[in-house]
Amino acid sequence: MTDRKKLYRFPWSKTDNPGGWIEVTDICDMQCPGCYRSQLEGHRPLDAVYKDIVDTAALTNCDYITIAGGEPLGYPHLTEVVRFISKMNIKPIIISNGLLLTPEYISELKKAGLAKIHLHIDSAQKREGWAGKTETELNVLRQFYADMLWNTKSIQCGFHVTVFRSNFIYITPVVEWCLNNLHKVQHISFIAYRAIPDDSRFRFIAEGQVLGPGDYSQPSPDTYEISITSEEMYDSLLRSFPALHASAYLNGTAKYEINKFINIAAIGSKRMWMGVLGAETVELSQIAYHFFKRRYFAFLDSAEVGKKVFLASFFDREVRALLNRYLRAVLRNPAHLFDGIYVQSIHFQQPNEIDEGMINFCDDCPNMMAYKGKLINSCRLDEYRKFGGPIQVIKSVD
Amino acid sequence: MYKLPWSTTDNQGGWVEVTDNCNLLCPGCYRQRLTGDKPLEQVKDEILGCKKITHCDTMVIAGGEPLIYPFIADVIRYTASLGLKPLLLTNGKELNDATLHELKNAGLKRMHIHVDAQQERDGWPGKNETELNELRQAYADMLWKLKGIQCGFHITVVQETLGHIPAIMEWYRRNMHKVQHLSLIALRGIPLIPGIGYFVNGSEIPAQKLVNSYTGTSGISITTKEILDCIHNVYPGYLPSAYISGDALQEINKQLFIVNIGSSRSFFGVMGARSMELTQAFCHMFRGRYFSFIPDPAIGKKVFLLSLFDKQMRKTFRKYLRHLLKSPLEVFRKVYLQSMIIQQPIEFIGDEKNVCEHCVNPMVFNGLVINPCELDEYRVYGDPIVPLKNQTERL
Repeated sequence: MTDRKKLYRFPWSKTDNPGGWIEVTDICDMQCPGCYRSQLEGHRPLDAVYKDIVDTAALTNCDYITIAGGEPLGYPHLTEVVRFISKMNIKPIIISNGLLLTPEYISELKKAGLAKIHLHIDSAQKREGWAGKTETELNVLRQFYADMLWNTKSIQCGFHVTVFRSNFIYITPVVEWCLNNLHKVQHISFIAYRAIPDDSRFRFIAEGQVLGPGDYSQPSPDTYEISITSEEMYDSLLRSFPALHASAYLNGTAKYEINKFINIAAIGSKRMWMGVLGAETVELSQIAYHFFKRRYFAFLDSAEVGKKVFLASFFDREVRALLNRYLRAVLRNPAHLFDGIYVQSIHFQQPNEIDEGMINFCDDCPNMMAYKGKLINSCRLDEYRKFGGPIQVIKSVD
Repeated sequence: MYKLPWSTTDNQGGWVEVTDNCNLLCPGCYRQRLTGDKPLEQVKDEILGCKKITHCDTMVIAGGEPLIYPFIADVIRYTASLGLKPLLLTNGKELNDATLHELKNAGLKRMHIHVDAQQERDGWPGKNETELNELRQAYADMLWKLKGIQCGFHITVVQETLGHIPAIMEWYRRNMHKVQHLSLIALRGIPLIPGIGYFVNGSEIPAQKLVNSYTGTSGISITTKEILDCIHNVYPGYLPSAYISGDALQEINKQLFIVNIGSSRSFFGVMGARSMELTQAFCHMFRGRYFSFIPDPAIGKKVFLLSLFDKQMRKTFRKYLRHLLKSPLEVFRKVYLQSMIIQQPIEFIGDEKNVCEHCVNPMVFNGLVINPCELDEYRVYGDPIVPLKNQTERL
């Protein structure tokens, strides 16, 4: 278990959160295992999307809004949505599978003010032309997208990987690839696969109605398959990269001892990975950003933080180690002096889960969304859409 | 207003209950007598467990009435030995100089005394909140004389209280140096309304078995905003600087925090949101924990340095300077901090159960971390109550 004394608990709350979430469509051109979104409504009317964006911003005080779906690139008014968010002085991010991404589309989104794209690419998707490829082989595809976004000079690039038992061992090579692309890749999320386990001790209700097993999840998921934890993923990375220390976390809402989010802030240049930020620097940056901008943040306008980051070595042991490595590199090859210094976030997440009859979310989830004027967890949207309200667990009575 | 950055696992406060025995019956109390005094070892385990998970700075020792618990001094000593600030929540009936000395020696840092007109105290029957200021003053003087234990009061607010709020505030202002805290807590209970049922694990709890229930919502719906408005009618300067929202209904301010600055003679003003933010952030940066009260409420004039960043604090500072001009002797008087929390506790609104987002004093119960206001739902019914639009027959 990671020692929480060495980690910073993000100071976020529901009403003072860096993130917001909007879904523009539930149509998708891919079927990813673990997806919790059904096709029920299709493309949403633009006005409804605008209203939810305004509500989300008002409720969360967010710094960025994630545009998700479905596949947002297939939504006909995506550019307008990006522009609308950007004009509110909020950073728009798109989560996409990337299939529809072209240089022309990107340049249109860039003009509209897009800040970042997170591309969901993993081996379970069985993409056309990439079926049967491992995560390591998929790094070629990731590189293709990373290069495409690098050419825009302004849109940041992130990746999502759903983690199953089958691709668990590839966490390290994917991170290694990310570290080799520190200047081009700003974010990687490893998200453990989750489904609701069959357990005769519990029943599920929503709005007072008892649900059948097929209503809420795929039937009989393998309990071993759905039990990967953030901690387990982080540990597996540490075995190969013992210096990749995490600096921050979010706990579970029902099981407080569980670290639902574990975050690493890696620092380096295009030539090398140098080290990480410690909890102190992450804390100071959240505080300073909030003090001056009146909001918390999850990513900066530019991932090139520059050498000023070394100032943190006064109070952050991790940054001192980082500075050491940097100076040694400069001595070996002075060309390092001219390289930009970048930050990259490596993120492990175990999403919404039901554990021993307790629904365990990420406390202060940065992906909350407005639904009919009310703030809800985006991972639970379909519970509201299908059943009218969130699932509750009750103990079975014989 | 500043949203306080506290979360369950990085909180300023924790909570432990040593007994559920009590020597007073307060309306709105959500604790039943079921288990009596807890064994000391269990209390210690709960304190340690709570500290580990919440990372807290203050440990609230509550009950029942903790002063009738035989090992209360041991509990305080143990809490202090863990580096936590022990805060006792009591009705004060058992307070006397000898007990206070013992508690002070054990390391007690603060005492919040619940005194209000609905309690029907011996010797104070039929007294209203204004008249009860006399009793509050007696306790405040007792603690002031002792030195070393800070003094606070809790008042449950019902409709009749609202008219006395100006007098309470007037009294509170006069005691800037002696009284460090005032909580005004709106009465809440479970409203019995048609169409809403209260369920635990799929079974509806019959209305007659619901503890602390009320017919309709009229007696249990005073909001933090209404209480604040009552204060502002007389003293518009009491501006809240921080808040905690509802968990289910985020637009509701469950707790409003006001920090007053003054001397034994004068009230200067309040802190603004910026000061709250800076002090919490700095304390966390340097001490690794958030905080809810400082060891010495006589904070001194250095507090005005915050006016560099905080507009509200600049106003307070200007008021202080005007006081100095009028009465130069003020320069020799100490400057004190005094806090206020206006609170609407756990509530059922329609089929929503609205607790405070990130309870400020979570507790450990059977290995779970829970809100103390929900403890009896676990103890009496086995699990938390869930309000549902009536669907009994389907379950």
